[in-house]
Amino acid sequence: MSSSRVTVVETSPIDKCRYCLVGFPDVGLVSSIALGHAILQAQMTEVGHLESDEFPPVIVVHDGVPKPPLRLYHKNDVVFVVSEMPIDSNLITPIVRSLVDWAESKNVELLITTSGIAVPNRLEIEVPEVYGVASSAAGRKVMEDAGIKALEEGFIAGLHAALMKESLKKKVPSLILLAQSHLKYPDPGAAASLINALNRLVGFDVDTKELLVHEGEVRLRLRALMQRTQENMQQVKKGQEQEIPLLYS
Amino acid sequence: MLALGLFDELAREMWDLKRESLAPLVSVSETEDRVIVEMDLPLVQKKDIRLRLIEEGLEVEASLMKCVRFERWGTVQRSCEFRSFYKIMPLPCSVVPEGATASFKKGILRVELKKRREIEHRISIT
Repeated sequence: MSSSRVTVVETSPIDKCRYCLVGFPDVGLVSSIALGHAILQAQMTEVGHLESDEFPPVIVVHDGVPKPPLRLYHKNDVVFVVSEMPIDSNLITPIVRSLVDWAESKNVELLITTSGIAVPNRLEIEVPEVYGVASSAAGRKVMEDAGIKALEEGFIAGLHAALMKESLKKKVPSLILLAQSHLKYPDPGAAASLINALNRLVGFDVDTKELLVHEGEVRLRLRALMQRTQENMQQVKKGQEQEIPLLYS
Repeated sequence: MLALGLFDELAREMWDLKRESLAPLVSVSETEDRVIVEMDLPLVQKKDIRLRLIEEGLEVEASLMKCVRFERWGTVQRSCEFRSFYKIMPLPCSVVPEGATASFKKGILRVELKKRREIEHRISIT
């Protein structure tokens, strides 16, 4: 049993979880936009949340109903873990430990974290590519069968990097998916590419047309969240993702 | 002082209800001889952007292609409409208006401004 400072609370029991997808506010808000859109399109059911005495005293209200900002959604054999607020760097380790322990307890086949990877020439890219990093050769094959290229060299910083570290330690199969994106501006185009990759990977059927038609409104609505997320990206030294590793092959 | 701190936080919020305007996301960087300002201006057409270099900094005003409405918005819990972006961006150093360039692509405005060159004083080493 984990002694983590963060607890995963199931308000409805989750019997089956083949894939667990995690998306928190990060580069270009790519994962937040992608998973948020998928939750609405696929009409996923809210089934739980993350709890901790160390979370800030914040709730979010939707249709008059108060909710914790970090929540779980479920449909068929897929669970999404999403957050409506950026995560402080001091909370990353307890959150990832709790999530990996929970995924292990559910015999999750693949724990997938999603985000954007900032590229300086994003304006010249019409359809962003999605790259992946797998914790095992089997995971890499699953990724390549879905037409997702491997990220061969580089640094990854943030919650998804911490989740991969913890997954490797506990031997929970995991995958990071990264869509080319803007660093500091909400990027629905990158989110659409990520959704298409997830559709191929986990057999989802989420349509991205609506997301792209309303791209302007999405960018406009998420400005404040992007601003707050930028502060957290500095905490995890996100700039290091633009560097070349020492032992570059 | 606590109240002032709270208002500083709110001042960072990106909406001006009175003006019905939004503050865009902005990124400022520098090279040796230039200041580069980028702003995210979704739902804006190039012809509707007004850009000025003023004493306080770079001023941008841009009308939205359509009025954007948020229902039951924020702490006021009523319908709010916004019709434009507006921001005065302080710059990290003195710049000159000559040679300034601006481009607008896929909703991203990029402005490059030449830094004002200070008078140089050479120092001899004996």
